[in-house]
Amino acid sequence: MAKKRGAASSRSQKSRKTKSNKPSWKRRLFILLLKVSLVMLIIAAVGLVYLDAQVRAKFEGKRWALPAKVYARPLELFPGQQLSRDDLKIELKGLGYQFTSRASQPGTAEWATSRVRVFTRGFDFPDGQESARKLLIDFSGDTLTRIRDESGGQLPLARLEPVLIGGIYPKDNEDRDLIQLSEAPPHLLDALIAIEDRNYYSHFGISPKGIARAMVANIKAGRFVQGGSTLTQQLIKNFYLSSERSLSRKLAEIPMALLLDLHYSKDEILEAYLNEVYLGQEGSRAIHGFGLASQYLFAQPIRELKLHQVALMAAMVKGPSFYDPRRHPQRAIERRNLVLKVLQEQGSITLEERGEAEKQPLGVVKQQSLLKGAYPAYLDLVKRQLREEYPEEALNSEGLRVFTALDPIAQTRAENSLVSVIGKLQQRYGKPVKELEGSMVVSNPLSGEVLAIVGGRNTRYQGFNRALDTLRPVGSLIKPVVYLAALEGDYTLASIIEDEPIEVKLPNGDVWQPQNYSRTSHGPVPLHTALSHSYNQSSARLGLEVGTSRVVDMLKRLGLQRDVDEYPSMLLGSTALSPLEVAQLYQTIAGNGFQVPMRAIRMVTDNENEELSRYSYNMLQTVASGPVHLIQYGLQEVVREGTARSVYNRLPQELTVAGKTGTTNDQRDSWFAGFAGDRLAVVWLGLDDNKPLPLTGSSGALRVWTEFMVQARPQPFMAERSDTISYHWVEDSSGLMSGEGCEGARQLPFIEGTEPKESSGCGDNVISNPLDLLKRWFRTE
Amino acid sequence: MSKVITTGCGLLLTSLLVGCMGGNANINPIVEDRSVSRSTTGNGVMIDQNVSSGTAVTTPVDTGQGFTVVNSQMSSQVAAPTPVSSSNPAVIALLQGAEEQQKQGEFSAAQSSLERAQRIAPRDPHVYMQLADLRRQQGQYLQAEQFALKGLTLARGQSALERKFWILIADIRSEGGDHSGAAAARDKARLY
Repeated sequence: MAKKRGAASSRSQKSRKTKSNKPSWKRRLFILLLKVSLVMLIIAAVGLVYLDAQVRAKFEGKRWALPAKVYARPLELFPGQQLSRDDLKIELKGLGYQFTSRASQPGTAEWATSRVRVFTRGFDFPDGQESARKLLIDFSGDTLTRIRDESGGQLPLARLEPVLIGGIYPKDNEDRDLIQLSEAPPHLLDALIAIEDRNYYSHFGISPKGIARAMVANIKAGRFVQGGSTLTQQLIKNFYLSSERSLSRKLAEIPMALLLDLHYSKDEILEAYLNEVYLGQEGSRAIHGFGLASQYLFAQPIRELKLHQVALMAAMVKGPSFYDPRRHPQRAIERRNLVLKVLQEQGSITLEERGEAEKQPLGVVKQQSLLKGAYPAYLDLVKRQLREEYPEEALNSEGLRVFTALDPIAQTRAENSLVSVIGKLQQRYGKPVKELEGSMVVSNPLSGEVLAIVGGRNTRYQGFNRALDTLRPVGSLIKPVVYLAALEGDYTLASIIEDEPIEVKLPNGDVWQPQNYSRTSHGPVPLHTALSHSYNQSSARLGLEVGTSRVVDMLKRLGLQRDVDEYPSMLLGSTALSPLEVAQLYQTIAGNGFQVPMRAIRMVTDNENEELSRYSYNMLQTVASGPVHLIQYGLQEVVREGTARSVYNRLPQELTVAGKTGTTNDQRDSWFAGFAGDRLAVVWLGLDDNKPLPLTGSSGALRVWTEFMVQARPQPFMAERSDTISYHWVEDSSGLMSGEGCEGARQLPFIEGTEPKESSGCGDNVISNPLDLLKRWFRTE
Repeated sequence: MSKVITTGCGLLLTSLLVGCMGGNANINPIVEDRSVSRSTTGNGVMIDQNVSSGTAVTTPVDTGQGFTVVNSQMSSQVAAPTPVSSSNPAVIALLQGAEEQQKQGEFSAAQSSLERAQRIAPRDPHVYMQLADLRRQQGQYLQAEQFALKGLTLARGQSALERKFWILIADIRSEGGDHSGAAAARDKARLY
């Protein structure tokens, strides 16, 4: 009971207490609010500390992922060089030089009839600095004869800066060329501040005045016409925050702008802004920063920009696609002129300067003429080689510099040749070649460098790269390999072989019955003729004698990395290879048996120019020079007398070249592989769906090859005479020793000791006539 | 390889003897004089010898097989240029620069200079001599010897230079531990 009462009394006490607290609910609410706001304050403080850490970490760390930059080979200039003024023009255009009447600043050139003045930009090469200077270059015909500097002194050698041909971008495809504040041209900063954020140097990250002004303007207009963002806020938006318009993003923007302004100087923030700002879109590539925008819009480095160009870039900040000068030139020019007006009104420029700049056209280059992105097939090869050595992360963020061997002049010629000849073939053959495709690899056999790659008819297409990925049977291109293996053995060029029908039973029960292209057999023929006329039956017989394993071995020694099946049909080229692989094989033949790996990359450095890796010029003799000399002779015969003799309809007689045609079954592939002294090219034509063509190697690919050589004006091929080689007159039909002037005699090279022992009965086999020797030395030509 | 070298050596000795008659003349049998017999041979590829550089090239003939002769105007548009030689000031500058860089121990820069020189004058034996010597100093003896052998094929007929190549090959081999090979190379050098 007592307990009950006690309990009751305590209840009543409690209720009394409650009653007495009732009037102070306001106070309770106040306390609650106090508590909540305290918590909020703590959260805000923590948030602020968090934001502060974020602001500082990102600003002080590696601010941007810098894509690797890939450069073409720099053009060397030296007296005695084969270089026409037109070649030089292609190169300078690729570099975005301006052609003026007076070359007065870097990046300009002055053209006269036999001389050119170039004011180079200079470049920091890994092996030394090439400074910006004026070069006066004299030409005589297509030869560069003299280079002088400004003081008139003769220079033995000069290097132009290399063309930037592309980059390796991270997933977001952001690309930029970093610049420093000091590199910004005069008026860029003035224009930017004048048009975007007039009080930049006096506000503290945000501008209440600006916001108020914007609100008034928006209310007056009844819609959103003006944003009150400072440059600092714009930087925060782009640099730190995702592009989605969320409330938390809006909330974070202002404190972050304040924090950024608190921690860093105005100039530091402005420099970051210059590099962050988004200025356009090229396909999937996002153009960020004024450095890259300058290249993207004008194909010029930012230092060289004039007032009207600078004003255009500042004008575009507000809306890069709305004011895109390529798509909306009228809008762009109006806003550019507004920028110029503001600049003049605030006294940054004079009225004359403004008037002069307003008269200028937009001056934007066509996107197509930009060399960046112009060489997708070559860049593809470069990337594949790089990915073998570097992780993707390093390639797309470390700002690596990749120096390649791409020769933009050779590349231009290769593309022109392929595209123009395909066009002509389509006119001539019509529907069956409507979808005709092709690819091409060009190298310098003397250095092993890949100079150009064309991956298809659409030379700017980034996708399927036929030069690397189309594996097609090589047809008769294999024959020099088969013959080389034979010549290494018991055969000579004069050996008589049988061109007769042949049947080979294959393990699977099929019978292999190779046919000649002409569908007739030629009987006994000299080995060199069977090669130059590409007889299939005699070649198959020869190959079977030699054995497929030795042919495969020869393929490996010539530089093929791929494993090859030893079917008899491989002797006539059933093996499928890419044009690049074929180029390697022929390069070793051109190089007298010295195998020089095909290289696209010369060197990779970090962004400070320190060497990371180098792809050196190396060589290894894998085939003796004697047999290679014989096959070089055979390949010259192909173009002089054999299946490719049409080349001399267009090439001058004194330009010695060598090569081989290739046509596969039912004419599905048209190939030509061949070389002059300093140019090797492999051309493939065919259809992607592998349907037959009305083309052979000589009526298709050879025409592309010839067109390229006509344009390239290469040096003639000069076979180095091996110690082990001597030339003898032999009777062609019998392969017996003969003499000069004898009926049916032909002079052929032999590896010493392998020349025929029996004589045909004509001639005394004069090896060396001293009188001829004297005649040669005293000849007057 | 040694067989090639031995044969080469014999031929080079002959070349020395014949070479007395005509400076840098090539010793290989003179098989064709373009100016005399161009029209007399009726069957295709002809052989010509480039006297100064020891090379053989085929020259055209009218084979009577009906292929068109190029007219002179077309020829002049695509005239064959002459190769750059070691007398070119650019090559001299690069080779001197490379030598200096190699002395200073700047092997990477020296290599870059030599590769530039090689691209400008790929038939100049001096370029290969310095490339070989640089590789020797870097301890890459296999590559060094390959460059020397390549250079030797381009130096044919220039006995003083050939001798220098054999001495270099001897040095490369002895530094690489191939003493008998080095002795053989020294023997070759003595023949010049």
